[in-house]
Parts: sequence; structure tokens; C-alpha cells
Amino acid sequence: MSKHFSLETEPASWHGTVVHPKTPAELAGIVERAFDYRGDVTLKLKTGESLVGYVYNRQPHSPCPYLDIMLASTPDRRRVPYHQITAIIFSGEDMAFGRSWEAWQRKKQEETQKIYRPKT
Amino acid sequence: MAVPLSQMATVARYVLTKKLKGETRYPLVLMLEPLFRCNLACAGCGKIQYPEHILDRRLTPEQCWAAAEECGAPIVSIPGGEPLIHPEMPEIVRGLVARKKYVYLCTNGLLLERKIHEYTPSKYLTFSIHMDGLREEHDLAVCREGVYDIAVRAIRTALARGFRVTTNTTVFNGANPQRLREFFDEMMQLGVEGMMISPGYSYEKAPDQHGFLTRHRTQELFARLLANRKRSWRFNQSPLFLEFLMGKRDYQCTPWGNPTYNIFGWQRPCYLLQDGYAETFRELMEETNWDRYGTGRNPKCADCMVHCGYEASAVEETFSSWSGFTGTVRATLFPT
Ligand code: SF4
Ligand code: SF4
Repeated sequence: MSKHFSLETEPASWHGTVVHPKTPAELAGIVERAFDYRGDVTLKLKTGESLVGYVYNRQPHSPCPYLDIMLASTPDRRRVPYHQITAIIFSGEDMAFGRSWEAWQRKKQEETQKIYRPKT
Repeated sequence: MAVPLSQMATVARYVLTKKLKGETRYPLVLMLEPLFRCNLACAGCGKIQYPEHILDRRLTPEQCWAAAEECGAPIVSIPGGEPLIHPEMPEIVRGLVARKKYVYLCTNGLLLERKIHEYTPSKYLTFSIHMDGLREEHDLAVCREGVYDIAVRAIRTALARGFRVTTNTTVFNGANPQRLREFFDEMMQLGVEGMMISPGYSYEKAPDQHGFLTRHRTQELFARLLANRKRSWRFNQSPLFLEFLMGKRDYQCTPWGNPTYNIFGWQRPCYLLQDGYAETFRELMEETNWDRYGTGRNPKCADCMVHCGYEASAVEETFSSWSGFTGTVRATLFPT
């Protein structure tokens, strides 16, 4: 499920992307994408732990940059320092993807055409 | 029925007290989001695209009341998601009313007829019904047919039971001013207390990035929409904010005027933009770098003219200067 990752190119959706950041800048960049992502991510930590949840906050400019994640399997939330993260996987469905106004309009148009298609 | 004098007096007293104390940043309306789950999935809505476990979470009544007390704003607006889905919403509202907060419960109306008996009419409680235009436009905006008719029935029911009722309308790109003017007629004929309008905002995360308005087009559209306003139309909004929408006034955003609290915490910097969260209201007010936000300061704010950023700026002008005050009186009595 791993997709090629580059901070220069923004995919239509990050879903399925696996990133092992190599530099602090790359890590900060990918945390920013995880924060923007409308789905769950999996964080792999140096401790060997895996956290699955929704990243709702991040503080890249704090003396010890961290993110906040709401865990998917319990009501808990966790604060994770950036330096603890070894990989970020965009594992959950991207809930914003494909739910566009255009898609809705296309669907409506298709429905209308089905109903009103003139007989030939 | 118009906004009760007691509400106007409460807001005026609150703002003047803040000004006398020399506070330059103060909240006017708490935007309280007790849940994100909704029973609609409008194409322009950036509030509902979350994983299931996030949509399943809700603020408790105690969290809602604590947020209202911590923030101290005289008005609490409860958007969502759809607040009426929250099983403890009647209790939340009762607690806020007991604290003498003027509550605007924003709903798409789908559940209102079924749940209205759980609420008690009060000058402190207003149902603010989401209506994005006449039947055709509204049903298209909310991506489901039949919603307009249900919402109209809900408005009638709430009014018949003695509730305060307003409408809230998001004006999107391509809106037809003439149709919207007919919509205003129709809402006023239904007997609502007033209407609230605001341009759509291009959420970073909203799936519909084309339906929103640029600043210049917003001004053009609202100038046409609100020119030669009918005497019968009542807007439950600052008249100076309406002039701002029409391009007659210029304001900078004051996002702290409408702070947002939800399951994640206190949202930075505003109801629309999610740039992170603070754990307390004080942290939000004191540790947010407010200078980073607003038109000309942040690309994400470039085209924004929404009420939750700029209406508090208009209210601030009313109470800041004699010209602001007389301008408000003039714009109320002789809207153009
Ligand atoms: S009714 Fe409101 S919260 Fe629900 S999807 Fe529509 S805009 Fe979003
Ligand atoms: S201009 Fe103000 S209300 Fe609009 S997005 Fe920016 S901070 Fe939020």
C-alpha cells in the first residue's frame, strides 16, 4: 500500500502513503500533512509502539515540537514529541476525498439525464 | 418579533464594560461545537469529514457549560454537525439558559419537529435554521431533496410553539441575487425574527473549492443582494457588518470575537481555520499569534469575509466611536 512520497508534489489524497522521514525538515513537513489529513494515521514510534488515530494539533515551533493525536481505539489522546516518530502511515480513509461539489453535480446531472433522456 | 431589548442591552453592557476595562480582545459569541456528526452531508461543508471515532465523540453538558463560563461571552452559538443529534442537547441548552446566555441553536431542521417538545421557549433560546435559499437552491446546497420543505415545516412548528426563530444562510459563488431576495421575502412571510447571512468560506479542507467567493465578488454580490432593501426584511446582524459585505466598509478580522470550542479544545484561530488547538480559553487568547491572521496577513484569509471573523469587528466599531454609533443607527433606520 506504500506510495511514493515527496513533499514537493501534493497527491490528490495521501491515503496509503508510508513515510519514513529522513531529516527533521521532512518530519516536520509530513506531520503538517498528517495534521491536514482528514483521516486516521498510524504513527510508528522509536519505542516500537504504534499509535492509530486522528492528528488534531501540532506545535512545530515549540522548543520540543509535538503533535496531539486522538486515538481510534480508546477515548484517550496522546501528545507525541516529533523526535519520537520514525514513520507516519496515512492508514485511514481520507474522509474529504471525492466528496466534492463537482462530484455531486455530476451525479445529479447523470440522474437527470437518466430520467429525462429523450427517446430516439 | 425583533431581537429582544434585553439581549441588545446585555450585549451593549458587556461590550462597554470590556471597553471601560481597557480590554482590546474579548469574545462576543462563543461558537460551541458539541459534535461533528451530521445527518446531512452538504458539499460545501468542511465540518463533517472526520473518521467515525471522531464523529462519535461529543462534548458533555459539563464541558459545554465550563466552556461558556471560561469564555464569558454573552451569546453562545451552537453549530455542528447537527446539534439536535446530541442526546444531551436539551440539558446543555437548559444549563446555558440558566446561566443567562443567549443561545442560538443552529440546526438543519430535519429533527426539529420530532425533538421540539424537549425544549422550552425562552427569550434566551433561538432556533437558527440553516436555509441556503429557496427550495431548489437549498436542496442542491445540502445535497438532498426535500430538506427545504422539512425545514419550513420546522420553522412553522417552532414559531407556533412560541420559540424565537431565525435563519442562517451561506451565500455561495454563483448565487442569484434575485432568487435570494425572493427567499428573504419568503422567510419573512413565514414570520422568522430575523435572518443571518454570510458568504461561504473556502475551507482548506472543504471538498468544494470552487463554490466559494472571492472578496471582490462577495462585495459585488452582496451589493446587489442588499441594495434597496425591503423594509420587511430583518437581519439579525450588525448593520455595519452588512455594509462591510457590500464593500462600503473595511474591517480587519477579529477572530477572538467568536472563539470556537469543540471536542479538540479551543480552536486556533477561528471557527473556520484550523491551525491547532489550545487547552484553555486563556491559552487561546494569550498564546495565539493573532497578527498572523486576517486579510492581507495570511493567504488562507485572503478572501474571507465571514461573520465569525468580521461581525465582531463591526460591533466593535459601533461601540468605539461616535461615528460608529451614529453609522449603526443610520444603517439600522435607513438601510441602503
Ligand atoms: S447541515 Fe451544516 S453541519 Fe451538516 S453537513 Fe450541512 S453544513 Fe455541514
Ligand atoms: S480572516 Fe479571520 S475568520 Fe477568516 S479565516 Fe482568517 S482568521 Fe478566520
